[in-house]
Amino acid sequence: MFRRFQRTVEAIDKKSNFPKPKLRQRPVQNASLGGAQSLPAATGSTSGTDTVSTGTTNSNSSPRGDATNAVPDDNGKGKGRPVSKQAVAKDNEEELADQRPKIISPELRELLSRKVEILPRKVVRKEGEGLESLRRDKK
Amino acid sequence: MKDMLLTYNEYNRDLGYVQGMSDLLAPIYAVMQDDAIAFWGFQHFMDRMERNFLRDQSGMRKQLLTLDHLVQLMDPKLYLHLQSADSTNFFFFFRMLLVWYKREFEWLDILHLWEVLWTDFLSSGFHLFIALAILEKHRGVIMEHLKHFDEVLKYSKLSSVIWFHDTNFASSQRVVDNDRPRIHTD
Repeated sequence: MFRRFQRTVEAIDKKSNFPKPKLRQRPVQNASLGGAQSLPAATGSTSGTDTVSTGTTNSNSSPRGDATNAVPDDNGKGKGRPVSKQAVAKDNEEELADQRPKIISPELRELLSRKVEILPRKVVRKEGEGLESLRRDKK
Repeated sequence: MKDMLLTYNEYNRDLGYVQGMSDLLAPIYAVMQDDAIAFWGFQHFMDRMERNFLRDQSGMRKQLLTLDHLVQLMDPKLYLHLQSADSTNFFFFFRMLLVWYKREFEWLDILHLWEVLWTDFLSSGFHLFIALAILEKHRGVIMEHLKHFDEVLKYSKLSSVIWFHDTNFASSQRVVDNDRPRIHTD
């Protein structure tokens, strides 16, 4: 647990060392102007999205998206859709959780320290419930 | 025990006696079997634990907040679930953190656990990782069955045997053991 925590903190700290990736937008105008010949080249560069779209038409290939839908279809036809909707909702939640900025608070940083925190006497005197505080209350 | 606690009350006149201190003294006294040694052992232990017994509970609140941040970082899904159950104040861990699981674990496990925690080998706040390990161990039950704060509280308080039975304590010990330089004793 501790090691995992340590690695997570280090990963978050190191994240800021890298430059932010530049967002690449698809050249929409060029693709539409280029016609049919330019399309294969454009799809070749973005393989992640294309495999899903081709997978729906091609029955032999089974990308991740289809694999999850295929299991409920074997058991019962009606059950497929609600399950997938729940899965999508869950995925969204996970994405939201992942997208939250991970900030290491000072409290968490203290967990990496081996130094034992001993309260100064002043604080204990102020907030303690000892004989001294009883005397103070009487005054 | 009573004499020792009264003596400590005189020794540390600022803090006084607060419920839970006897839990911290008992294992030390049982092991040391000597009033003077046990007292000084307890006094040193209290150096780090007195923050738990302040009137404004600032020490406890800080630890619960740290646990909150720790779970949020390490297991965001569980954190979201606890948030939906109004349990991210982690109040159900209050007693466990107050007396370092003294009332939850079995006697021998406590002796073992405290020795591990006293080493501060990886962190002086290692008891919070024990808390995280307990949560992870019971993650399935929490996620599936505990939907409200009172359910979480009830589960943690009433079923302490279930809560702590075969918890991840052994694996946390293994981490410390593996990292510790081996001392060969004949």
